Amino acid sequence: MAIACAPRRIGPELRPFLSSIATRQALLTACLTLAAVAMFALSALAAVEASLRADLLHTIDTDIAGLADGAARGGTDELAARIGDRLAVQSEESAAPYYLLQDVVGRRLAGNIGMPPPIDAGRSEFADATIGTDRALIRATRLSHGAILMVGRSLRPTEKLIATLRLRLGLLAGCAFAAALAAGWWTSARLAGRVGAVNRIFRRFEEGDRAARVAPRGRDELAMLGEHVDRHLSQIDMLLAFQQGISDNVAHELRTPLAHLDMRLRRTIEQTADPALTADLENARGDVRSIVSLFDALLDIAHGEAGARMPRTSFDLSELAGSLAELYAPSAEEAGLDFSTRIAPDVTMTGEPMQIGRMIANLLDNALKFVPAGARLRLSVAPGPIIVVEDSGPGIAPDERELVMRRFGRGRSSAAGHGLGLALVKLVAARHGLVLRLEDAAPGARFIIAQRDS
Amino acid sequence: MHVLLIEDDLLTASAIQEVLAREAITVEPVDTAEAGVQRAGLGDIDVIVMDRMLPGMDGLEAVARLRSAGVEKPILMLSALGRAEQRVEGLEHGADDYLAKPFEPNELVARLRALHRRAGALANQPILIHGDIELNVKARTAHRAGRHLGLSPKEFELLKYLMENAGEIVTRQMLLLHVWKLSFDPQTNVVDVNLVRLRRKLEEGAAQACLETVRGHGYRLRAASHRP
Repeated sequence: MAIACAPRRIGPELRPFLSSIATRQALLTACLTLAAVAMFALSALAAVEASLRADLLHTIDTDIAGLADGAARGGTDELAARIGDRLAVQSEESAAPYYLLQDVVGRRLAGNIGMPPPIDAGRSEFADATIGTDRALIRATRLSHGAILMVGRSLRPTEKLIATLRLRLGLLAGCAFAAALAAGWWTSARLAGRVGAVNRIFRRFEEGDRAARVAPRGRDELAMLGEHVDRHLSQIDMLLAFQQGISDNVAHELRTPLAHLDMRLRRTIEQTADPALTADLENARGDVRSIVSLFDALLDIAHGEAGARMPRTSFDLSELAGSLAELYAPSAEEAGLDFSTRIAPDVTMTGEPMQIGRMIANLLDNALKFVPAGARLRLSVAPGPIIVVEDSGPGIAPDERELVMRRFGRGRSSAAGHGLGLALVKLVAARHGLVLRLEDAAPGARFIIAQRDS
Repeated sequence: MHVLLIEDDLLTASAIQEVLAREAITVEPVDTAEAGVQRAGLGDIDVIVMDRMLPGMDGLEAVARLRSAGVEKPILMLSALGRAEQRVEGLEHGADDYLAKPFEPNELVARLRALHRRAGALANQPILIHGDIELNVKARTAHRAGRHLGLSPKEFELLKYLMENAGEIVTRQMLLLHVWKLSFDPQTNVVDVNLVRLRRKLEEGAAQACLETVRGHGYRLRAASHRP
């Protein structure tokens, strides 16, 4: 049972949606677009950030050069004064500056950096550092007289710019994804719609609407496919009509002489007084009947396989099964079978009531022929439709099950009949979109006619 | 009864004439659908018997032509196309009955009489009486010589059909079509078994047998010998 299984990731209601070409194609296009936009955005962001940091470092280095020049001329005092001046004039637009001047022994002489970050001034290194609550890019350098100078700029404006840029590129990627999804879905839905139309035409044709054609518009590949389909359907229709015409003619040409033969035999019977001859001639007439009935059964199968015209009317299956049960009940009782029915009320189906009736009758006839006295026999009908004829007789051996459903195939317990009954049942079921299954009823045989997947 | 026979096969036509003549049924044969349609339009016919595959015009088309020309007489289609599907097709196209070749002469006669009688409005009577059997169609009760017969709904229909055709042979195919509404032949003798049952109920405690088996042909409710 499906309920007992582990929960599946995709619900059954989503599966047909996800399996549609349109959905899959649209998702693929959208994902590819998203990946392309994301790659572009990431590399653009990296380039912009690198360039901004290089600019910042250039500003720092220019600043250091200016300060070092001052120190060379006026010593550390001049340098401290310059740092004080620069800190006093801070512009709102540019990144906040950070300075630190230490003497040889590490005493702080000027600047706004409280805790000096661990940067090697001897090698004029630079690094990102945290100053209070801010993040800054700092370069440290040792001046000629041993003092250490650190100059930095806040990274906040750079980070803000990158964040803004990232947000915008993200929005752009989202829009591109949505646009690609919509465009992809629209195109693919149109494509899938046209393919679906071709599929519908095939289904209608299969169901007996022999006039169904695609009649494509336009000149693209799908229109060409539609034209091909139409050409082939017309050809099949013509062949079917031809075959039907032939089989009607053959039936007429064969039955007419058989009818003549039968009439001549009957006349002779009427004219003779010889009882032995009469019996022989009556047997000959019986043979004529057998030929005709075998011939009809074969033609029925040929017509069924050819998918000949089938009127599709909605009819009450429960009523039909009930009527057949009434017809067969006395025979079942005479045969010593315990016959019962379980027919759900108001089960309707679409198709050919005569063929469905004949199909059920065939299964009941089989039971009357093969199931021994004392066994149970039950006819059930349930919505679906599901038609079941089961008995508690000896059943059919597993190796014979395939055989009995084949044309002219008979089980070991052979009885009268042309061996076409179950082949016809199978065919009638198939023409109504149903399948015939044969199961072991342990003991007995169970014939089930139901939808393919139930 | 006067029958218009539309049949192009001369041997079949002569055999039918011969059989029907014995039953005092007169036959007027024509060999094309065109002539048949024209003749039927003139009236004075009780039943039309028509082949299905006629030269020049398909029998199904001819039925449609007859009906559109206002001919309401019962039509029996007699055809070499005898598969169940084709029988249904014939009935759907407006034929009142369909008989496949080769056929039993008695079957043809029985069906013609049934068609003729049906056209004669006997079928719609509220109470049917035949000998000592009485059928109340509205109340759906049956009595024989005053004794109530406990019939199932189908057995009631069966007896009603036999009574409507009392004195005539009714065949298995006729019973299947009119009582069970089935237009195919089962592979076993289910109809006979039903008749045996009905007979048992009819004749239980009765002095006289009334339902007769006509070997190889069908059944007949015996002509009434007396009224209670």
